[in-house]
Amino acid sequence: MSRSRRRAVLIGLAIVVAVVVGNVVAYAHNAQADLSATHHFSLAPQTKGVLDQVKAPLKVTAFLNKAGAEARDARFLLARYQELNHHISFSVIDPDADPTAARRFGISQYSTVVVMYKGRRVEAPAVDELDVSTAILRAVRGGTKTVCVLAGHGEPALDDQTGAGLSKVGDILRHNAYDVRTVDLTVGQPAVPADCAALFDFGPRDPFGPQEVQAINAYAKAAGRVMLVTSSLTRADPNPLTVPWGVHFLGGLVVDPQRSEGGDPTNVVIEDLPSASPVVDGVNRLQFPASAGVAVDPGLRDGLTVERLAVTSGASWVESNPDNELQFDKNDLPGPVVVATASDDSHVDTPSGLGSAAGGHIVRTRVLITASDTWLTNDFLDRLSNRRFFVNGLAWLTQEEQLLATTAQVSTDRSLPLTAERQARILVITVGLVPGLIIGAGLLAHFGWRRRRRRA
Amino acid sequence: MRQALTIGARDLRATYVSAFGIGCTAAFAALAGVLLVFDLRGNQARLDLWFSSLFVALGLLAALLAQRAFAEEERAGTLELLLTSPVRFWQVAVGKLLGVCGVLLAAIAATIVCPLLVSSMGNPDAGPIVTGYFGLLLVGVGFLSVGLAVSAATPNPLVAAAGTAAVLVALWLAGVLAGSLGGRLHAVLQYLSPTSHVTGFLRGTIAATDVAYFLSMTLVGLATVVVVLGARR
Amino acid sequence: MNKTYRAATLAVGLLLAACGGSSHSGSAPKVPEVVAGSNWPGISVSTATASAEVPVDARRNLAPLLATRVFNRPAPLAEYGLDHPQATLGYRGPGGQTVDVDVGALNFDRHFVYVQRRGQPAVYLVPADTLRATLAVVGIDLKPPE
Repeated sequence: MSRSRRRAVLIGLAIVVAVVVGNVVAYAHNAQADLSATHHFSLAPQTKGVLDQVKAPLKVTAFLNKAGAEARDARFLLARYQELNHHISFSVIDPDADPTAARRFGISQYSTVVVMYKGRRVEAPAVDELDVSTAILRAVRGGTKTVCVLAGHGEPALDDQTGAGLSKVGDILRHNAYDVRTVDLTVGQPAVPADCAALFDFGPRDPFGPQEVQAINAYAKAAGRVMLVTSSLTRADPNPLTVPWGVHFLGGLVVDPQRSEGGDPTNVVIEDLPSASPVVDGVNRLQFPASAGVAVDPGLRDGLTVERLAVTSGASWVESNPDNELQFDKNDLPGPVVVATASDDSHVDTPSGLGSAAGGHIVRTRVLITASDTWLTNDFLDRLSNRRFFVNGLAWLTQEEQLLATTAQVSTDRSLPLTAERQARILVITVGLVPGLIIGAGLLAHFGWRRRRRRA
Repeated sequence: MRQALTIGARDLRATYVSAFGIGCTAAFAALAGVLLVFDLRGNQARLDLWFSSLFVALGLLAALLAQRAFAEEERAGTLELLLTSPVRFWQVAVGKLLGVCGVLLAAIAATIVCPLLVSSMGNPDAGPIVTGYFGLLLVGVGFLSVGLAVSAATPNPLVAAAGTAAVLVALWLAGVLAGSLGGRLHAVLQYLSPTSHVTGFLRGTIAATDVAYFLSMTLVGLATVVVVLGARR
Repeated sequence: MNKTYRAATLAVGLLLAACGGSSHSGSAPKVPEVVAGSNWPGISVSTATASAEVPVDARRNLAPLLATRVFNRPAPLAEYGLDHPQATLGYRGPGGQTVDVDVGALNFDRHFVYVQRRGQPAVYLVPADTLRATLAVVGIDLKPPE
């Protein structure tokens, strides 16, 4: 082979290698820039985390009117899911055009999404990232978990859509594939159901009875997971529920003139999040209006750790007499003040107390306490990183890492009725005027060139 | 590179200021307008359907523009001169590509009036329009490279055009075939098909895989031109 | 002007003319009509076991018979219940012309019914509300969705 031919072959090989390597690298990284207004087709990191758990073929079937824009968007979105995990395949079926498929899947509404994974079937009500990712999470998990929400002490309702209600919290629980059960320990024999993956008390106002306290503590001690969201507005004394886990509820009202919102020094903004706990992952700041203070016990028993999740500034204090004045005096407790904690208690439970060598198992209790309850209401959940904090807390308590903190995206109205007048205008300009100008310009250039040639 | 630019400029003048170049540009603009009316019948200020139609039209345009690149030279008797001149083949390939890309650019630019009209009547999302045009340029250059490779191999413009169309259709068919296969073969065939790489542009995203695909198509096309020209000499 | 230019201009001109023509024939999407026009003096509904004239006050919704969707290349008729239609609407025009429309099954969400104009391949989706009262005359109960 001559030298030039050899060179040509080598260059050819180099080009082939460069092409293959370039494409393999691009395929592996799957990077993309999303220029769309709503970034609908850039999936949230939490969604990507859910997709990483898909290790077997997963089929997403969306039932939509194929002629509509919604079907095209569904294909775009589901194609993105497929790009991120090649186990995922999808199809968009028009239930009117293909009634057999609609019957086979038992579909009775447009926009239904069916996710099939390892023989499990999960449905979602809409083809958007939140609903599809939730369905995939549920399918991968293989079931739903039950979370129990305490009632009977004046707590706001999870279906209350007013500013002081908790409907957004309810939505988060539903979208993360939890079944929500309301538990009222004030009636009958108080006992927290054993199948509660976590127990929540969101903003109690009335005192707990002794039997209730006993029931909640018994649940917590038996590897329970508790979130106690209380505040200075409560008439209940949370200490019987918090002291066993190394936290004292101080009451009072936190005042922070240095870090507060809207000129109200009790509408506290938290910027100190000193813990490495996963509860504050991705949390930058919190807004905790009307917060009381808590204190962590100095001497904790073995196996019990308490993380100080949120701490106010050094200029803050716990006001002991908030009804009369908001000035620091000797009766008040100076800051910084802890307003949220995470207790983690691990101990070995052996049948006869002979120690772990006798075949005991580790029992782990987790308790999340916040000294404000307003941060969780509809008016405040979407302020700063409050939503993220709640979702992280939920994940930490139920040991679910990939939960979805995304909110539903608002779509913009892009309707454009194609009237006869608009249609005519488009055709006249694009089919008449523009090509006419192009031809005219070409003719001018041609005749101008010919005149120049003649002169020359 | 200067020789490549000279070749490109010469080809652009010869092609663009001819009836053929003007006609192609005007016809593409008119076609875009007709497609716009059909694709707006969903009563939404969205151009994704329109761009997807234009991607198909680009295949035709590429076949038409590229067919003359080498066949015309051969017909005029100047190809031998070009091949024996002290110009490297890669400069010829790049120059030819630059020349037809000039016409491509003009044809795509002529369609800009369409999204402007839609913007005047409605509220389209600008992102997908930007990525749609980016995709048109990238896809167009890729298709033109394929066309140049075929054109370099045959003296007959008609055969060149048909050959280009055949190559593009074969790539499209790879995607169709992928649908009935599974496993790695499905993934490979799907990756080879241009249709799987334009979805991103339609929805307002620019993905690394799609850019890599069409740049690879361009590189392979140019490399093929060089090889074919070398074989002809 | 040289020949090439003349040819090119003519070609583009023809293209413009064709498109200009299409701008007059084209219009915003029309509602599909199974049976056009409102001048149908006689409309009957029949099943295998019963037959009746459609009362005059019920004919308003049937002529023209409007559909929400049309499938020009439908799946096998059995999927739409049109292989064994549950009823047939018979239209009699003033000049004696007749049109038969077969009524198939309800769609997946029970808001619409599949119908087909006999002799034509297209299948239409007609709102169930349009036909409910008419079909009740011959004892067919189109149960509304829950």
